[in-house]
Amino acid sequence: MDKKTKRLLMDIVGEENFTDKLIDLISYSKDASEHRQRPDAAVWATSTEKVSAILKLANEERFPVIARGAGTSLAGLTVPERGGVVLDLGRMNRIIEINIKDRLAIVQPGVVYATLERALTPDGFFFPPDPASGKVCTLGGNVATNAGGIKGAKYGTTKDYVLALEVVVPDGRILRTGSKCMKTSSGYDLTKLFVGSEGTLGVITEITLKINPKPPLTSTAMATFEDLEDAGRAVSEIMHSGILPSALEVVDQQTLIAINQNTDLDLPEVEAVLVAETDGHTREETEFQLDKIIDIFKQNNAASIKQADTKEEVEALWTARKAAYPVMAQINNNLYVEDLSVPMSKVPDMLKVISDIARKYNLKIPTVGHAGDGNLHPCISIDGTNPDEVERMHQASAELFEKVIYFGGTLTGEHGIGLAKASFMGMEHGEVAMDVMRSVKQLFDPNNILNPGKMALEV
Amino acid sequence: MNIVQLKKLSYDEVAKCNKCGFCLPSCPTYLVNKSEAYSPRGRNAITRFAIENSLDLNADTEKAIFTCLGCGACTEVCLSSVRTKDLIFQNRECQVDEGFYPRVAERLAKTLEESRNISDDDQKDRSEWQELIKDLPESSFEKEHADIIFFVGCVASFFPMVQKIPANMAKILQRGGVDFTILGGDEWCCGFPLVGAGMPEKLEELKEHNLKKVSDVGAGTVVFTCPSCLHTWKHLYETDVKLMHSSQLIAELLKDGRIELKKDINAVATYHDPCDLGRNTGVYEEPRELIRAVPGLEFLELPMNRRFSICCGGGGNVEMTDPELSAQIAQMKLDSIRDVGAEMVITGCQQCVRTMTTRARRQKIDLEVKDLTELVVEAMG
Repeated sequence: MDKKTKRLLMDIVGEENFTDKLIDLISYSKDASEHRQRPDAAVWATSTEKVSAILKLANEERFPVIARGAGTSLAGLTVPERGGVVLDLGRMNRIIEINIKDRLAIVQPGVVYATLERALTPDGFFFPPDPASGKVCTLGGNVATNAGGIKGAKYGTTKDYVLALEVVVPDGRILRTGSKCMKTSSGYDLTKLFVGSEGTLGVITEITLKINPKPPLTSTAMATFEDLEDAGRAVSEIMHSGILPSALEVVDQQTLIAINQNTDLDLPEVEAVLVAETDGHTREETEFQLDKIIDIFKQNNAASIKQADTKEEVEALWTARKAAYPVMAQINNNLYVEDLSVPMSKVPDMLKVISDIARKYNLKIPTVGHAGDGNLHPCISIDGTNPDEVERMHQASAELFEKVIYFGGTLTGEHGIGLAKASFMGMEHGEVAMDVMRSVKQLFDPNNILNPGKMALEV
Repeated sequence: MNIVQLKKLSYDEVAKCNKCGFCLPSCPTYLVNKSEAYSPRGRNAITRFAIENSLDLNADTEKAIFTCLGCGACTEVCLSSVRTKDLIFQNRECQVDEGFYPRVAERLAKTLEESRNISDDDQKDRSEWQELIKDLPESSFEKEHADIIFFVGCVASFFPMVQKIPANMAKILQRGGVDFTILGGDEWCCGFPLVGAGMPEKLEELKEHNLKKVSDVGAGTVVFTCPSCLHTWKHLYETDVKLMHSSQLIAELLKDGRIELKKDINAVATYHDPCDLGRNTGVYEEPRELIRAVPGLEFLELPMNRRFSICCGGGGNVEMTDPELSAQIAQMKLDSIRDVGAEMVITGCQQCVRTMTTRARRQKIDLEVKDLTELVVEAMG
């Protein structure tokens, strides 16, 4: 990037919001994935008008622009693969409006998930997706990734809550999509087109979210299963029993072993542990739901079932699930969290495949997941400084993707495609679907300036 | 330390960083700047790229590496428990060797070598704070032999705003009938600022001197009102002598009935966990026991407390190297105190008292900032 272009960028955002210092560029060269590439410069945007001016310049000068929130992507969504300018939206972090009467919140993209949660709590409301990185990740990133989390089975993911967006498209025009209404049948659903678009179609500058009243009470139970298939059947039966648990999580044997080797929690090293949570407005309501779930656990040969009453007991039941990532992150120096989703009935088959693949490639792949929506996180733990292990990790991932597609699943439940899974897009989506996606990209971004190299959108 | 040595020392640790970014909201300098290079993840990237020879240390890396507060909050929320603070301090040693470090660090080292205290004052004046005490024993508090040494620390000795801390501590020890002494002009800086300045090797001489004084006095215990002195002694002095924070000793006196807290203090108060006392030394409960023992005081916790406490802005020499950044972090702290509805903040560290008091005065914020010793003296009546 030449000096003149940098000067023009500086004129738009102000010197204090521009950097081409190496220390900043190396920070922006990475996210939580293994991918690395330095941008030529980075800017902090402070208003929609500035984003518009930046894109207009980029479109004229043909340099890439990569929008970035907190950079927590696990799949390289924010890595500037072709260099260019990282557009950091972290300083556009104002909650514009919380409107309880209309059940919506309007925010700038840099607002952190947890900040909105704190702001909604006094009114008894919440924005349900609850991603694991909620204390860090930004809502702009949530929308661009279509982020999900632990509450997916009952409450869905980000896409179910985005009502309207303000988006700057590559020629600098400012587009408003959707409506503040709870329902609309008016025109193409442009809003949904941008949800999960990974910054490849436009830069989101304002988000209108539907918010939910938060049920104040929860009940929790944990069950252990000697046989993985029993656990899988229990999940499937729960999910068609008419009860919708607010969380239904699975922890596999490898994870339990890893936790026991690294802590003194002394968990039973069974084939699977399930943790279920129900929510509601009265104790009767939450327990009625939980009793049904416990019945299903019993019918499916649960080896043990524990129910929690006090806050401490609830925390104890969640220990296995919550300790999983910290423990896995410490087994080795690198942890690659995959994000497969399969139809719910295929969860046990997929867990079996994961453990077979771990053996085949001589890798540790403990797995946890949101069983209630079929979303599994095999966590490949490797020594990232050992090229041989890195190579085996890649081979194992590729085989996991093949199997997932074979089971009718999807490459990613909530992390997105980015760079990590771009080369597998064709495996999941047919030629026609890929062709249409590329046409959409071409329509919005004919010069391919927005986050190029992601999602296999280039012909 | 050169890059090769840094690589040997740091590579395994810095390679553990998963770059997940979970550290970002725990880092005060990131919260203020919203700039990755000022975050734990960003600083670890600097170290990693430097030891992989794809980044030369320069004035920019100096700025990023020397603005870390050394508060350690990032490690608490890190899934891999990366010891980022240690990595930063090791990196600082390398920055120093390559000539990229703040000039104040050099001045500091020179001052300590010549004056043996951080404020470049005459060591004779170390006990100036005793003038605040009305019924001072004739021989002052300096004795040849005692069970306990009260190690006052440079800041509380020389900075008028916080000289009341040792004065109050001495009053409490007197009231509790404790056989104690201070080292007066023979107390040398513990060396803590040198670690933050990237010059830990210069600490040795100070350490040897201070340890010799302890054996001369024949004390079995050293008590500190300064958490950073305590932390330095505990982690770098390799001594068998019992080391305690003032709050721990005072809590013992209270438990044994040697002091009483009987005077009502009618206020709504919160407690700020100093980084070097809480997170970095593990003392969380004794300060709270003391606060709860004060009649009339209503106690509210800050939302980020104990392990997750957010630094006041006074850590890691940042107050010297980037006063504006330090002040903005102090403001964030004061905002969180206001949000919880407290009119008084109690802490156990002279540096925290200074940072918060200075900011509150400058911004005309009506907030009482007290060290635990002051609270205890008031409540003793």
